[in-house]
Amino acid sequence: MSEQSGQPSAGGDDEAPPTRDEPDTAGRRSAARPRGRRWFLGGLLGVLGVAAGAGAGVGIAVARRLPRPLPHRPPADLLAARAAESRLLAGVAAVQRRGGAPVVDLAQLRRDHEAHRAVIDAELSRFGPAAAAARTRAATSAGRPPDSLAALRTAERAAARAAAARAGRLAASDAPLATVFASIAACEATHAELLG
Amino acid sequence: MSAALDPAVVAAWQGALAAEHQAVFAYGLLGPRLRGAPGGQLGFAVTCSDAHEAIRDAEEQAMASLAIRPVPPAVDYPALYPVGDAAAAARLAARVEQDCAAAWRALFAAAAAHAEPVATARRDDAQRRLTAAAVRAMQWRRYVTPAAATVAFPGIAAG
Repeated sequence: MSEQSGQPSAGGDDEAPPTRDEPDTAGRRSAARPRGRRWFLGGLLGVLGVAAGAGAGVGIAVARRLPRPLPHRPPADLLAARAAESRLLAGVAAVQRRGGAPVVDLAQLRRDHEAHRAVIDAELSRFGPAAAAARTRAATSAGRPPDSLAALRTAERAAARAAAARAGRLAASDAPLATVFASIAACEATHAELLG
Repeated sequence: MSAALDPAVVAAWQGALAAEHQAVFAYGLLGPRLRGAPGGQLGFAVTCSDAHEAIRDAEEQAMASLAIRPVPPAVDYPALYPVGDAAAAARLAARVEQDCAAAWRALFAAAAAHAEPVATARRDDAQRRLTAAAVRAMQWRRYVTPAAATVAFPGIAAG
């Protein structure tokens, strides 16, 4: 958040478009999965009101609407998103443990990331047992979590860019899921502003 | 109507422009109630109003370049009334920003299903506008409910 005039910024609408700095997995996903999965966003919209930021409820409710698990490995974008949310959650917990001046109520960040992770887990659950091992591998390669407010702000900003890029890559093959990532990107941008 | 852009995308784009028209009107309505409000709220409202006017103008121009006639603003927006005091003004500002976020999210969803460059441009535009509206909504909620300033899914659920 820019506080130069004592006011918050108006949202950085003139920011550059998100960078696309991650490997393209959309093609692989498109080849393996049917298009037009409007049920995902429909299900998400249906359960978000109930979930109100709680993670597990969202995941369970979305998973109930999903078709059978797919036999192949989950897309790298989904695993990376899951790992990123876990890393941010670990970062929030680390900053909370450090204590200090309560500049920002970090509980709301934790709630948001838990909700993101629950929705990603619901999507991952479609891939069956293969997803669990892949998820663990992705999580261990996500890097050390941020351990200060400044580092957390930087991580949130980077996560927002990555989620926006993910949304762009997924758009052609999975528009509803891309839309969820577009929203997650916006949320993480609000976190960065809040921590600024 | 542009032949190059799917009608569903055009409709969502017009919806986003309509939300921007509403936001411009809303800031004119709520701004006077913020005189003397703490935390620079009046100044922030002016900044937000300027941002929405700039978005409106840019989107109208972009539509015109594609031979699309931009939806005009409504004569009045009764759903925005009444705005009794500064707290109500801040709540209304958060609400209109949420409406904008939802409208831009809808455009993202509509454009995401199409691969033509003109649709991709709208999708990228929608992502940027969604994020900006979500940030402004968060800033307003920060004045009203600081412990619940953020929402997990801006533009989808109450955000």
